[in-house]
Amino acid sequence: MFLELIIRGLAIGLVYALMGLGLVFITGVMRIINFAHGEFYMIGGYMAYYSMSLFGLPFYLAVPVAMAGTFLIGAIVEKLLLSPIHTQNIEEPMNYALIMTFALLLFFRKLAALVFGPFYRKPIDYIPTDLHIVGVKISGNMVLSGLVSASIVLGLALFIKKSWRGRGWRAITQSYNGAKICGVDIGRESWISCGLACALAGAAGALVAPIFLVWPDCGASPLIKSYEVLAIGGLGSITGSLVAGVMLGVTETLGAFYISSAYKDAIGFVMMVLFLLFRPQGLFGKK
Amino acid sequence: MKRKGLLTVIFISMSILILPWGAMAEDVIKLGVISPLSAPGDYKSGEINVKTVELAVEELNAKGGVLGKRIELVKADDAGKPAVGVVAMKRLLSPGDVSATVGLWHSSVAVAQEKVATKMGVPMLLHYSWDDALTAGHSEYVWRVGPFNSEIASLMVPFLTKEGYKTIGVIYETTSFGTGFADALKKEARAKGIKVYDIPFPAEAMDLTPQILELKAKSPAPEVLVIATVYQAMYAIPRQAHELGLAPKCKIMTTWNWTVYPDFWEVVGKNGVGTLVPDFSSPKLKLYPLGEHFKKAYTAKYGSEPPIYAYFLYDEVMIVADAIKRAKSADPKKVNKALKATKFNGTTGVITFERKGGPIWNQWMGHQLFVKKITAYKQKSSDYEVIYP
Repeated sequence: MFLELIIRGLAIGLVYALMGLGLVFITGVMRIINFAHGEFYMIGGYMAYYSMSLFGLPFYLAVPVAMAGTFLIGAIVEKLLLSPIHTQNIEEPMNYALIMTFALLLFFRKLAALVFGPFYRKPIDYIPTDLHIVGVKISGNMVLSGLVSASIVLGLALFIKKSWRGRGWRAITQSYNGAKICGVDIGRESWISCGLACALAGAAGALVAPIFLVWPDCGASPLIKSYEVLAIGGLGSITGSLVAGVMLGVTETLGAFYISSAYKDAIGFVMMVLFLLFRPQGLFGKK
Repeated sequence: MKRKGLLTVIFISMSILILPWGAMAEDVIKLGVISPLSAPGDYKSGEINVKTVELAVEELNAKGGVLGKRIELVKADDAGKPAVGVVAMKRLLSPGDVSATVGLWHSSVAVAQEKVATKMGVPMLLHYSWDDALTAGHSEYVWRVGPFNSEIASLMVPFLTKEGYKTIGVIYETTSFGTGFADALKKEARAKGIKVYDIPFPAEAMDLTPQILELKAKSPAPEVLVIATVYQAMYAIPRQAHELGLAPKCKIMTTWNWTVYPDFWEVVGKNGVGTLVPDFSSPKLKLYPLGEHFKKAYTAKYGSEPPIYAYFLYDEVMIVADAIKRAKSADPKKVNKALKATKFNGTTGVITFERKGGPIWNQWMGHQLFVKKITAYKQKSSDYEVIYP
């Protein structure tokens, strides 16, 4: 039983890590809070669902389509609504972003309810069979979501370490003005990183759509998990989001089983509060 | 001169604005409908509530309204939150021209709204808010056509004992409805010697695997798992129970007939076969003529059959219209007084409100519970097999 709980916690934790990573980009590169992050999870879920049900795409195309679609929407949102933060030198960029992204959250939810209706959607199972891992039976969908999430996180970590663009993002995270002086185009990197952050959320939504379903408000809980991962892992740290996501997934699963299932979500919240109190920089963030 | 002229114009404009509206207000009777129409409330069901009330009001207005006046619907969204529900109720009732309110859904919200309705003296009718406390408070202004938790538990347990079940699990959302239902079921079942495992979960939970694993680890294993929720977990639990190997050995039993919702088969898939569905309607239950009419009208207008709670809600709108006619007034206090003497041929029975103490206060007790079983994939609700009584 313990092993089964660990494996399940690991699988869900990797999806949390993917969600949290998107926020790492937004807060690190754009230096803002994004309340609408969970809505891109929802949009990604719907894109995967309709790609498969309306256009008959297989899941291995539907998920990239969802990522591409949410990248595009994220980039457009940045260009239209968030770019004034760096083009017009807004005095209170954090408050501006708070209000703007909260308005986006409401807009996307209402629009989704209007367009897609209130009922739940579920794409056909990506992997319809159960798999056995170390003697533990686990759904193929869950294994796939965990593996693909891990691949995306690790792939992105490699990209950021080795590529010029990745170096530029790290430079912005370390010193905004310093990066500008070094020739980094803040405007361009902002929309790209915003698009990428949204694509990561979209990927998470698309991957778990057959497990956790899709409906207009399904982004609410993943948004909270993303912030918990960000707080526990630390600002600007990809390793942090990976470790924090896994920690959160495993702790929640074990806590719900051994302590009380009623407080499953509270466990993650308590973890976040403890980190904020005693280690506010998170596991791998800088003080 | 100029100032005088300006004041005259303002006075005349205000008179034009006020007088016609005042006259028009006398030509309508206002009925309030408050339901969850946005998240985190169960707005799926809220939409069905509003559609049902709209249909009833359309029919009444097509026949000339009540007391020669058109019925005007005043809608409000409680978003499934008590604080929002209270504000919505206050805003709805403050002008003092609403005769009654219907459509309330979440018990936790209705419990808060009941205090407002009672204070403002406007009758509030409940069609499917199950918490015993809603009528156990003995408010003069709360009326319930639908069932309540301890009634449902007392109707469900005879089925469980007849089938010989010795051990059951109840998995429930930690809300007024879920906790109340679980407590009622535990009390009734344990009194009959049935062992009950109770597993709570937060209402908005999407992943119930820890809870199901907890049940799976129990000894003796549960033979039936009763699901008490209105949120996404009602779909997640059957799927995850099958995935984790708890079901189908442990039968899945719902607490209400959400299996009729259009998304049920898409989301639950073949895991839905074998589900036990307690319901207050059945082919064995002869619908009254009003019930047959409502079923046809709803299906024709909205393209799907109404769930059972829609019948109770439709009854409520008609009962309010009937009370207004008998009171010869739309004044809420007079309507409330007339509700006491209600004897109405509803959709599923003759509706009267009883007062016997406890939650049986301004409560209709004419419900009959059937237990149905889904026997085939994508089976229509009218084809479910009735296995009890």
